Amino acid sequence: MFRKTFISILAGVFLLAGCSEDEKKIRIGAKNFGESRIMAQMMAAILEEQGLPVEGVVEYANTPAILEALKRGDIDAYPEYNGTGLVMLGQSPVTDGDEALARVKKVFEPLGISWRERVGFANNYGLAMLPERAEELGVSTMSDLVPRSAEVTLGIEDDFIARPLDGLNPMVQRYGFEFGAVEQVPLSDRGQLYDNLLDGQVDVIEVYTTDGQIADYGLVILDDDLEFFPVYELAPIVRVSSLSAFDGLGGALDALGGILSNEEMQALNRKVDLEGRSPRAVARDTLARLGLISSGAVDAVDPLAIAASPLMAGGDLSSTALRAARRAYVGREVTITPVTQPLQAVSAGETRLAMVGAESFFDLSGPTPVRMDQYEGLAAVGSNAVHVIATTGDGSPSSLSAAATLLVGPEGSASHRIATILKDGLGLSAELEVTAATTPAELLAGVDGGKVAIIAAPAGESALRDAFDEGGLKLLPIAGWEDGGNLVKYPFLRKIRIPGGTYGLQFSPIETLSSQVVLAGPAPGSAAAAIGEQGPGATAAPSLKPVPASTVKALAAGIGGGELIDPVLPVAAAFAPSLPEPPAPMNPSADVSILNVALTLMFVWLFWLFVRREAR
Amino acid sequence: MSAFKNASFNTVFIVAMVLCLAIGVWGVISPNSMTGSAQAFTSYLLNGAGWMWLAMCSGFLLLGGYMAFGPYGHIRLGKDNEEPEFSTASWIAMLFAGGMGSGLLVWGAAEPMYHFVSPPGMEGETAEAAREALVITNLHWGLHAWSIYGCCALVIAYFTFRRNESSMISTPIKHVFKGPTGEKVGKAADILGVISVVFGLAGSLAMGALAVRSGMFYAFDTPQNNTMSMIILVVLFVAYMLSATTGVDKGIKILSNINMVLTVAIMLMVIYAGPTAFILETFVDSIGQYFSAIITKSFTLYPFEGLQGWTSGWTLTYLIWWLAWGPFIGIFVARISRGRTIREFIFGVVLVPTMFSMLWFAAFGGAGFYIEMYGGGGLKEIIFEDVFAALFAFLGYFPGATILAALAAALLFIFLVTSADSGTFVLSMMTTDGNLNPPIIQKMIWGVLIAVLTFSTLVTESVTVAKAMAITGAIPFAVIVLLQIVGFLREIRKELDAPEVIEARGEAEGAAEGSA
Repeated sequence: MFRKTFISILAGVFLLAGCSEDEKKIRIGAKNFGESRIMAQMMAAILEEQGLPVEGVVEYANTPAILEALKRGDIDAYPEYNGTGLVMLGQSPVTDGDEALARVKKVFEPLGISWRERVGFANNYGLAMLPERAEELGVSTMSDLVPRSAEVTLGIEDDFIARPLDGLNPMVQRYGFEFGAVEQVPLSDRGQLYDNLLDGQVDVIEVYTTDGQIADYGLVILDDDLEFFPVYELAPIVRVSSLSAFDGLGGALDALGGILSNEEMQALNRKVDLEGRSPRAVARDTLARLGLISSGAVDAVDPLAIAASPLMAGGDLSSTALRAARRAYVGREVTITPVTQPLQAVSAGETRLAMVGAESFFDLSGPTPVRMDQYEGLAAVGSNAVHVIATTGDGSPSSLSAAATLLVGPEGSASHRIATILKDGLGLSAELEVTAATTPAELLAGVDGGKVAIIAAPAGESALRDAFDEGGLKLLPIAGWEDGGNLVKYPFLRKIRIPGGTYGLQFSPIETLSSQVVLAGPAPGSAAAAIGEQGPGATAAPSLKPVPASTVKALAAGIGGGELIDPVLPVAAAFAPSLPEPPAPMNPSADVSILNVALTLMFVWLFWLFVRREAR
Repeated sequence: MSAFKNASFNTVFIVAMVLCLAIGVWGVISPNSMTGSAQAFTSYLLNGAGWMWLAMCSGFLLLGGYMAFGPYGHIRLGKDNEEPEFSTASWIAMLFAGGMGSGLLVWGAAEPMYHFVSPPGMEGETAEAAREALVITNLHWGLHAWSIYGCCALVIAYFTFRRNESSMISTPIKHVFKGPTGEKVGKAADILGVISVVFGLAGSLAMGALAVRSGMFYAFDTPQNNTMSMIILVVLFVAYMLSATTGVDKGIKILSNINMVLTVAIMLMVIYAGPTAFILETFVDSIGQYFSAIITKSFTLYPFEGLQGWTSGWTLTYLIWWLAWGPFIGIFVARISRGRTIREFIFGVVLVPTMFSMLWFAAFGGAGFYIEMYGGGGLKEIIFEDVFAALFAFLGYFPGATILAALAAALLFIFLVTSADSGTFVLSMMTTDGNLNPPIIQKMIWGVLIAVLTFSTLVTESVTVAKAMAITGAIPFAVIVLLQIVGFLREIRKELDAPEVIEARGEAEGAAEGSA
């Protein structure tokens, strides 16, 4: 009986083992950029939905490598552009999508690779402009630009110069452009092109038509009316041998056919490239909303929250912070929670991180600011310039000292804290008027006559630009800050200059102050308590844990730029320098010595109790 | 009423009750000063005499080894021909459920991950760090922990079942100091024992109730507020009072067996639904690493690396926890170990649970490493943020996560019931001069007192108070254990010295066992 059972169990185990040997799983490839990752994850998700065994997504550094992997059978399928497919096999790309697909299907057939239905979007090259500038020049197609091309500067990445068939020179020759100037950036810094376009350094840039930034900044893409740029439509490609090995593989991939337009793909790329969300979550979320998979599986339970004051929560810096946090906390949904006292939200355990200005680390209630050490700075996000904003109308103050009222945000906001400091440091007679404003625009709405608004925001913040563009506002300088002991008393405020032309009708540079904006988390507890938080019975750890060093480094890397945290702020241990210590005295503490003498005597006594003769 | 007949309200009961209420009131009225004083006291001794704690606890391990393999191994805790009172499986299930409790579940994935990410004196998140992490975790939960319990229990069990003396903390001490001195020291030791059990238990229950509350939140999405804590406490109270009043051979035994089945079920699901081969490789690897490092690790204090803070925050904190639970687990384990030889006792109390917890940490810790090393990652950030949420996030990586989470919540609850249950049982024994089947009225009184203390801790939401309460008793108790061991060693010598009948029989039996 026992033997029988044993043998059947053994047989079962071998059977199972045999199955897992035979049952090869499907591997999907992806190239190492956002769009390819999203599409590869979509392919994986839709195959899983059909009950096909999927092993996962493997990333490759470039097109030759991934194509080779597909040919060798290391992967079974990956998303590819039909234009790229043609170029890879030495064919010249074409501009018509249907024709491109027909040709690419034909040339890949001998390789045993099958092209499936196109997903619907085409990631072509294109020329993009700011809508205002395009309107000004009166252009909507690339041919329209030809007569005006001498007036404009073109921004491109250096890879575009090198392309023999669809690059800069062929384009210039085909259309007959004569660009006034051409500025180039390295391929790895493609994002820089958009910054240059927004800054006005260039007028036209070369883009990929599914870049997330296009929709984000509302750019217009000039119509390629001579059909110069070849088409790069994405479709899953798959090994023919895999199609026969896995029933329903081809059909499952074809379900992705035509599901995404260019605009939709732009939105998805934006989520991954600009917001730092995980490609897997974006892919699954999209398919679930399209009804192609049943469960969204974007488990947004327990999102990681970053507290920020409402005035800052919608600002430009918050997207930087969000992106960094999403990259550091792999697979977690990250949100910004607007609260008036961000650091207090961290110590109350409501949020894990806070995004605050340097001034928030100081307790301003006393005669001199006292640094609060229960928080530490984890990464520098950027810096806030102090904007002192008045109306341009008659009777409005010409300097900060002439202002009768300072309009500030809610208590605890950077605006409120900085105004308090300015009032004290400059000896202002103005009164603070606390408002419940949650955006700079709301705060600016109250500015008139003797009232000036104090806003802490990065120089050139988009919300402020918009307000200045409407007119009627002017920036006031902060003068005389260095008089008195302000530089010593408030070391976290630094003198800066907002360059002329940052805002509409602001022609000369403005002297003001700035404070660094950092991501902050709880600091490790004081060393006084030797007992750890952990322990077999400590099942509910009461106090807050500092963010671990590896996550701190990931946050800083996610922000990029390598800006260091202002040394006046408490810095996370990961970045704190190790300091030399003075030589220790020979006997560091006499009481410990006495304690140890007592303990030694206790052991001697115990030993004596053990060895002494039995009392009669 | 028969329950009242055997009830005894002796000096130990009255003094201990008064002191418990006084300290309890202090904790409720001024939680900060209470926690501050308790923590300052413990911290001072950990910082100033860390060497002694580690050396002492490693000494317990050596003593355990000597008892098992030395000349006394054959001595039976009971009459020479006595059969064990409980079957081996139930015995191990009961001592495991009482001794480790919910901590194993909560720290299973978390602790190895902590050491993996930041091991003392080496670079984190490397292969070496993973090895070191499991060695350190096993050091904290393995032989040391169980030999502390083993020594506390052995001294009691020997006098209770071999010498037919009362099952009290004071019994071995009365053999050190004869006459009235012994009475006085013994009384003090008994009272101290009762107080540390009461607060250890109340603290653990308060933290445990919060743990169950968050467990229910993750498994069933129930609210996390004070009302919920109170509901849990009431259910808990009813459950442990029912269990305690039925006696050790019914309530505690049944619950412990259920507990063991659930624990093994969760562990098997983690092993076989997770990266099975990786976990088993981790287990085998960790056995070799742990046992070859045990001698150095038993005495490693990092004086040259300047990492004394790490030692006191981790290793010594763990040792203090085990010591704090010593009086309670000691008496309880002694109670259920009647009829075992000392060798059997040490194997059952020290080695078997250690091997089990090593497998446990290989499964939970190993799966955690797997997630970070080969999986998608993302677990370590949650662990560093909130250990408790991390348990459920960890279970979420496995198929059937909902079932696992529900099982885990149930297990946390039963662990609490068994702790509270054996705690009230032990307290009643301690205050009835070591009555092995204490009267129900005594159990009711202690059960209610513990519930009241837990209630006030929960109402004031002072988990730090609970923790301070739970571990402060460990320091004075350490002195008592040392005295108990002196008394025990003095007495057990006589088993070999005097040419008595007992010795001849014992020798013969030992020889028979050796040849078998």
